[in-house]
Amino acid sequence: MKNPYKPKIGKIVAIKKLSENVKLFTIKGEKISFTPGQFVEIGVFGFGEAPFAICSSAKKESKNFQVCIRKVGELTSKLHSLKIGEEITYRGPFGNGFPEEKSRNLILIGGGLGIVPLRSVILSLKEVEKREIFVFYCVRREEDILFKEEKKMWEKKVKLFFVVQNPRKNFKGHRGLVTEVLDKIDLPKNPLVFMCGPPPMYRPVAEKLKSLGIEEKDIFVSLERRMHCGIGTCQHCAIGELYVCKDGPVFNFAEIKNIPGAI
Amino acid sequence: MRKTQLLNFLRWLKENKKYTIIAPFRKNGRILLGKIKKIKNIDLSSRLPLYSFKSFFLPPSHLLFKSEKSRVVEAFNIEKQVIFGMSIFDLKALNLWNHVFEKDPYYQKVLRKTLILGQSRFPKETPDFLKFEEKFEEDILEHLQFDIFFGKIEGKDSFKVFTGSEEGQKILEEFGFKDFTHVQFAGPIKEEGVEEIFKKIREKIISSLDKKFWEEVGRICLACGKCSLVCPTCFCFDIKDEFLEGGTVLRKRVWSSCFYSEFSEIAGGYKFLPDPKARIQNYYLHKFYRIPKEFGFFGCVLCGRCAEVCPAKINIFDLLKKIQNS
Repeated sequence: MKNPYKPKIGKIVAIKKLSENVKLFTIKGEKISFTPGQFVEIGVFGFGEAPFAICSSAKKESKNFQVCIRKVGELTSKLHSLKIGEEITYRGPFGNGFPEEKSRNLILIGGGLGIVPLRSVILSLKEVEKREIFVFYCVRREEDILFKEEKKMWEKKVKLFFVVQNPRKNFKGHRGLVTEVLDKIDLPKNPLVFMCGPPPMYRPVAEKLKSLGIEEKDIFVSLERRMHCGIGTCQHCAIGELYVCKDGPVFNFAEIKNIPGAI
Repeated sequence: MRKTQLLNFLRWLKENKKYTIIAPFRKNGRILLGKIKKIKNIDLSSRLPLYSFKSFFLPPSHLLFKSEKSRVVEAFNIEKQVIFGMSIFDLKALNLWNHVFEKDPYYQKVLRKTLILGQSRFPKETPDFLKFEEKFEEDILEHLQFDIFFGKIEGKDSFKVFTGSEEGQKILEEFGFKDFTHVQFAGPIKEEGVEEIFKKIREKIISSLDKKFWEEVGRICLACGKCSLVCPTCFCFDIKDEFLEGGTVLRKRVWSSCFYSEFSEIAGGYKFLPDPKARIQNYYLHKFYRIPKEFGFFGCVLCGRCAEVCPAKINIFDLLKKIQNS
């Protein structure tokens, strides 16, 4: 019988510091194929496991994958202390990921660290895309922007908007909240929207998008929860009659908007 | 089967077949459960033990793996055991666990090593007895999974014996007892479907969540988690690591409770179930909403243990009535 709790051993092959407390880890393990939006349970023996979105390209099956980790607790502090060549455990990929739609226009809205799974969507795009893809990357301060050096690479495929809530005086991007910025921009026609960020962002942004003519069924959000098993058993991530780990973490907005406590 | 013969059978399983015997016993007026040293101490009253049998199917803390120098070593073992005295409530709960842990290698290993012996009371032997027996078989036993089931005939020191598995039949025959009826498992749900009361609760529970009675329940609930501890269907767990001297790490699966403060906490401290009201609602949603969606039957067997242990006197039967009438 297959053991879903048995982790694989991965080796850290690259570490990149992205901001004061966020690092990008490249992990080499067994061949992995995934859909952007899926997650892995990353662990260090002795420090437990936690779910992290995969943020690398899903285009080719590879032995390498990337996760972006903010130092906030015991496990993530331990992960931040690891060096290239050291080992971690991983299980997965788990969950459903963003819908794989290759021809519809896309709007990606990332709030803070919510950009992480969306980076996987961006990096997985084809070399030449015949559709419009807008990315709204929303942060509190300019210092919070991750993947700055990938800006040019992203802009070859997508139209990138930085939305900064409290920028410095000379900041050239958009100021304020994404709900205000969306009003000012001519959005792609008939798009799918993928959103990932702090939960309080979802309802107002979805309402704004609806007021701009985007249908609820085309809006998808990714949810964060505590997860232990990753396979819909341990109950930590339950919402209503669903499990974020198994039925999500990506949900159609219409599907979860009325579930008490979901967003 | 007479009472003395039943005790002899259990003794034979322990001494000749080398099973560990888990059974109810009486202590300070309470029925408790545990490993039995002396067969004569087993309680045969069919009274419901305070705790459920779940800790003998998945221990409160058990090993998933050991890490030894970057190797992941499987290290989960249990002794072969007889679990005697499971009530109809407890066997119904086992139906749920059999579904939840259908693909769980640890649970399945426990099942392979466990002989499940149920027990319940039967009404007195009367001319109607045969009819009752038929109904009991059809309505109840056919929908439970066990190896052997003992129906205690009221007022007599004897039991009607049913088998629910080939293993159960074999072991009884080997012991030298042949007067049993075999019951074929027909799935957890009766032919006529789930009970109306459960359907109604499932329909009403979501719209009931903002009703006033939940406020009151949330106000008095201490979020102590005792209900989830004694509940035969509750199975939430954490995965935790433990360091041993010398660098070995044990990765364990440990019982949890959705009432605990950190149960829904994510990095940074945010809690999705912030207060007792949210937690007790989640507890009820799991049993009466989520499980029905997943498995088609209900996640509560109405054993009442939660009401018995609740220090705030929250009574599941009252609460279910309120949900129905909301």
